[in-house]
Amino acid sequence: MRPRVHRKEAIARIRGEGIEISAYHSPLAVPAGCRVRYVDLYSRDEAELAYPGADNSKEWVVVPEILAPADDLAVLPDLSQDFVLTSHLIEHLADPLRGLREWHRLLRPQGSLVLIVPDRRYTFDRRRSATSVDHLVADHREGTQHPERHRRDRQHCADFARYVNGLHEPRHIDFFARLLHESGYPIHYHCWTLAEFLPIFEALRTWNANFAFEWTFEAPADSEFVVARRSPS
Amino acid sequence: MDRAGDLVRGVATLHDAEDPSQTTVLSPDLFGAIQPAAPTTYALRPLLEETWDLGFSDRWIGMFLDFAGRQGMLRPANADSRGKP
Repeated sequence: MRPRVHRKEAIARIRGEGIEISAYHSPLAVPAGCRVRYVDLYSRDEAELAYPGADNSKEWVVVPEILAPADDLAVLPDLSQDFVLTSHLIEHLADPLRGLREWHRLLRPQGSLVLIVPDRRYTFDRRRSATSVDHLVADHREGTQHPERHRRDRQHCADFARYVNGLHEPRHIDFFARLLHESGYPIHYHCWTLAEFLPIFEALRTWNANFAFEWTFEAPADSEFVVARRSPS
Repeated sequence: MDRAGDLVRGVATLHDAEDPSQTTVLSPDLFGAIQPAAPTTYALRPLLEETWDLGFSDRWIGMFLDFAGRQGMLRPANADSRGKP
């Protein structure tokens, strides 16, 4: 694996106290003097069971201090964090706008949001289409119980079963899509390139979740890109 | 039950249809493994029968059961609908 220099650069500007969400076995190395707390949906033992394919080396797997969904961190007060870090997380959220609004709520003025996101062209998502901003806005407005939202979420699971798991027959795809959807398993619901991802920040203004440009990174054929944003003063 | 699989005292065993000596045993730890159980849970037998009817290979069936178990979707025969024995 090539050195992840851009990851180090992405978080070089962070200061103070903050959180990394869903670090699991790949915690980011924060600069000296920063205090990071880890947030995850599962405890370490539960995560080992849920994700048997992951690298479960005890040496690297972090122990989360806060057990909560990434997009529902009510346990943390408004304006309480200097930084929020996520790596290969946002694509797993069925409603990324909900997550981004929640992280915006947590950030103090001039707080840093750093998102490391897989580039769909160079991962197992390469055969899938990008999720449009209109699609994300509809997901967010409609909520989980809306029939159209349900249909779209199920379609993401079908895409995953077809293009990632490699099922071909429609009845086979439908079966595994049903299991995926009913379990709530965190597939890559969405996928993007950097250019496809950035318009999300314009859509967020609808909900007064404004972020200022800080830094972006992408490199040819790299499997991930980085978006760093800063909350307003 | 013949092609494969049953749940006995919480242990699911899959038998390879073409080579009965080849079996896959799913640990009872997989049943209701993650708490709370998933909102939708399945008894093993009907889920197995559905996979057979759909014509999945044993390899896929084993993968599906492993997945469902790890996600808290399988319930033993004596469990209630929330997957609790």
